[in-house]
Amino acid sequence: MADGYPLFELVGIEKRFTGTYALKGIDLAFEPGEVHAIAGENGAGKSTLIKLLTGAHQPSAGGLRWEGRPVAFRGPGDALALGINAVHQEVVACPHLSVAANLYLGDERARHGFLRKRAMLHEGQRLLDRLGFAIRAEATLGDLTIGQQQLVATARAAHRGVRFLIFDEPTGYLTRQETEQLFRLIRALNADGATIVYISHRLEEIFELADRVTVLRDGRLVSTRRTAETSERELIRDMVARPIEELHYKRAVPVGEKLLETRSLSGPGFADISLTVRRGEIVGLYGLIGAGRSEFVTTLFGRHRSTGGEILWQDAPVAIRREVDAITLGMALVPESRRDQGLCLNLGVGFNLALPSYDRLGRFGLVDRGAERVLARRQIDRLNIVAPGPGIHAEALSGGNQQKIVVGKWLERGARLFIFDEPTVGVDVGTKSEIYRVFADLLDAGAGIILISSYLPEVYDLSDRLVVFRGGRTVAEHGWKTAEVETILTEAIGA
Amino acid sequence: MSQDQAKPAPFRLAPVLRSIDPAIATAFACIVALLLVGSLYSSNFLSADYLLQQIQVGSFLAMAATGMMIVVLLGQIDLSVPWVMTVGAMMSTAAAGWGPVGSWCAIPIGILCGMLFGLVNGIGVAYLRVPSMIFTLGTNAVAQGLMIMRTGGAAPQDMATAAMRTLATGRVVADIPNALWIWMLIGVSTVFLLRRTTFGRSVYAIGNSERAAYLSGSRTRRITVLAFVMSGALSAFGGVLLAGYSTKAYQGMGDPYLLPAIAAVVLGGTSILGGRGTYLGTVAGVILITLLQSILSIMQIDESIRQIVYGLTIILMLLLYGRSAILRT
Repeated sequence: MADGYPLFELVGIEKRFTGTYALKGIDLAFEPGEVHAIAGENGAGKSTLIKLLTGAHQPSAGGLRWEGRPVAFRGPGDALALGINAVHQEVVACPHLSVAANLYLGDERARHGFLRKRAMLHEGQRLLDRLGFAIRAEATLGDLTIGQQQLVATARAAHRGVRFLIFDEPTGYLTRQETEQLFRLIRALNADGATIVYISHRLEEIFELADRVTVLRDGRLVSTRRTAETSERELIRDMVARPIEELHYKRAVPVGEKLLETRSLSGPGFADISLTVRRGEIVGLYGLIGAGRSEFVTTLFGRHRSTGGEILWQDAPVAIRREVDAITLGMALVPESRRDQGLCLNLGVGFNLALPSYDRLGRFGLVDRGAERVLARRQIDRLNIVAPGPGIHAEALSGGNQQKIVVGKWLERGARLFIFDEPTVGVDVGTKSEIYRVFADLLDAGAGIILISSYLPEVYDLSDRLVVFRGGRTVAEHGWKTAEVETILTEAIGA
Repeated sequence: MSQDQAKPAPFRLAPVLRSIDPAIATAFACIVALLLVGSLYSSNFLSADYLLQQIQVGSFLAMAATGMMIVVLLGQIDLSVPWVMTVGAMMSTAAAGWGPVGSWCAIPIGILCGMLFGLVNGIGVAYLRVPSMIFTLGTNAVAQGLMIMRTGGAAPQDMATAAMRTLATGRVVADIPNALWIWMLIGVSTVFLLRRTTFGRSVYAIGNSERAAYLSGSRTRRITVLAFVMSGALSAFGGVLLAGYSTKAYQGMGDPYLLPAIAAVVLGGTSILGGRGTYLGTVAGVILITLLQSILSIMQIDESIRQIVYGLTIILMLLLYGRSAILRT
C-alpha cells in the first residue's frame, strides 16, 4: 500500500478535443482499496476519464500521480504495466476463439514459442470455477450470452493481478444472477487489495457497491461524496442539474380496443403464451435472460416460425411468416441494438424518418422531396426530436433522440403496436425520462406497447399489466403495481 | 443538456447527402497539383485539346468506376470489371460480324452480355449470400474462360463498328468528344438515380445498415441485384467504348481497369464499407487517375518503373486522406 498517498490521483486534469473541453479542472484521488463509483449523464466525460486513466488518451493539461509520483502514459501498455485494467461495456474479445484463449489473449502460456493449450484450458477452467462462473473454458466465446462474455472479460482482468480495475457499465446486459456473481467477484478483488472504479447508470448498484461516488457533469467534477452520507435524489440532482420530478414517467390513458392477442402461442424457446395488448396500454414482459421473452417477441415479429397456437390482430387471426408481414399489419420492433438495426447512423434524420415510407413518397420510384420534407418536419415536431436540422446525421443525436427517430419512422408508416426490447440499456438518466415521455406520447396517439426490460423498477413503474416469464412460459400477470416487487422477482427466479 | 428549451431548427433545404467532403476537396487539389507537374514536362499539357483528349480516354474508366461506385455504396465490390469489360467489347464486335442487323445492334448486345454477368453476380451476392469479393472474382474467371474458349477455334470478327468508333473518338457536337458527352449523360443520370429515386435511397440505407434497411421494408435483395446489373452494364459499355477507341476488341483489354476503377471510387471519398459517397468524388477520382497515367506516359520512363510509380502514387494519395479511422480503445 502507498504510504499515505492516494493510489492514483488526477491533478488539474484538462482534456480538449479540437477546441472543446471534454474534461476541465478535474481533481480526483482514488484511495487504495476503495470502491469508487463515477456517475454522470452521457457526454458528462466519463468515457474520456476512463481513457485518461487507462492511457488511451493523454491529458491536455494537468497530470496523473501514481502512489504520489507523477506518471505519464504513452499508451495503454504503460497503464497495464502498473496493474491498471478496464472492463469495457462492450466486450472487446475474439468471439471465434475459446473462452480459455480469450482469458489468455495477449498473455498466452507458451513453451519454446508453442502454445500450451491444455495448460491454459485447465488453468482457465480452475479460474472460472474459483470465481463461481458456470462457464466451460473450451466453449467458443461467441456462443455465450453477452452477460457471460462480460464475466469472462472480468475474469480475464482478474487473473492478471490488477491493482486498479475500472468497470464501465458492466451490468447492462447481465441477468440478476450474473450481476450478483459479478458483485461477488468485485468484492473479492477489492478484499484482495484492488482499487475499483465502478461506472454505472444504476444508482442502486452504486449504493450497493461503492464507498464513495463522484458525479461528473459537462466535463466538470460536481461532487464526491461518501455513499453512506448521500441519497439517490441528491446524486440525480448533481447529475442533471434540473429537477426530475418524475423519473419514471407514467400518464394514465384510456385503454382502447384490442390490438394483438396470442392464444397458447408456442415456438422456439417458449410455449403456451396467451396475452393481449390493447390501445393505450403498456404490457411489460419481465423475466431473466433466457426466460423466452425475446424469443416470443421475435416470433411475433415473424423472425421465427411459431409451432402452435394462434395470433390475432384486431380480433382476426393472422399468419406472420416474415418481418414484412408484421410491419404491414402495423407492428414495429424497436430493437435492443437500435444503433445498428434500427438506424442508418451515417445518414440524415429526415432520411431515417422517411426510410420505411419511401414507397409512398412519390411515383415511379422518384422521391417527392417536398413530401419527404413535410414528413420529416411532422415527426420532428410531433416527437419533439431535438436536431439542428433534418440533414444532420443520426449519429450526432442523443440516445433518446435516436430512439425517437426509430419510433417516428414507424409512426409515419402507420404502426400501432410498438415492441421495445430493452429500450434503456446503456442510456443515461436524462435520456431515460425522454424515452418514457415517448412512451406516453405513443399511448396518447392510440398505440399499444410491449415493453421488454430486465430492469425491474422500470417495467414495474411503467406497465399497465406486467407479465412474468420463466423457463419459456408465463408464470404470472399483474395489474399496475398490484404486486410487490419482491413477489415479481421471486416469480421470475422461481425460488 | 438544454433540450427542453431548444427549438426545432429551421428546416433548411440541405439535402441529406450534400456536403463538401474534405476527400473531394483534396482530390481536386491533387488534380491541380498534377496539372502543374504535367505542365513542367510539356507545354502542351495544359492546352484544352490535350485535356479533352485525356478526358475522352478517362471516360472509359468512368463507365467502369460509375458501376463500381454504386456497388461500393451498397457495401459490396465488383471484381469482375476487367473481364466484363472485355466481354462487352468482344461480344459487340462479334455481333458486328453477323451482317448489317448484327452491326446495328452490336452495342446493345455488348451491354446485354455485361448485364447478364451482373445479374449472376447480383444473384450470387444477394440471394446465395456469397461474399461479393470472392463471387465476382469467380465470375471474372468464368468470363475470361468463356472469351478464350470463343476465340480458341474460330476467329470471330473483332473489328469495332463505325458506330462504336464514332462514340469513342468522334466529336459531333461543339467539338467536344462524344465520349465526354456520354460521360456527362451517364453522370447526370447517376446523380439523379442516387439522389432522387427510392432506388438511390435504398442503396445508401443498405450500405449503412443492411439490417435496418431490411427491417424498414427496403427490398434489399432486389436492390443489390439491380446494382450489380448496372455495374455489369456500365463495365461492358466501357469495354464497348474502349474497343471503339482502339478499333478492335482483344483478350485482356479490360485488365488494366480494375485497380483504377476501385481507386477512383475510393480516392473520390466513397467509403469502401458502403453508405457514404458522392458521384462528384468519383468524377474527381477518375480525372485524377487519368491525369496520373497521362503524366507517367509522357515522362518517357521504363514501363516497369512507370508501374511502380503509378502504384506508389495511388498508395500515397490514399495515405493523404483515404485511411480509415484509427483504432479506438
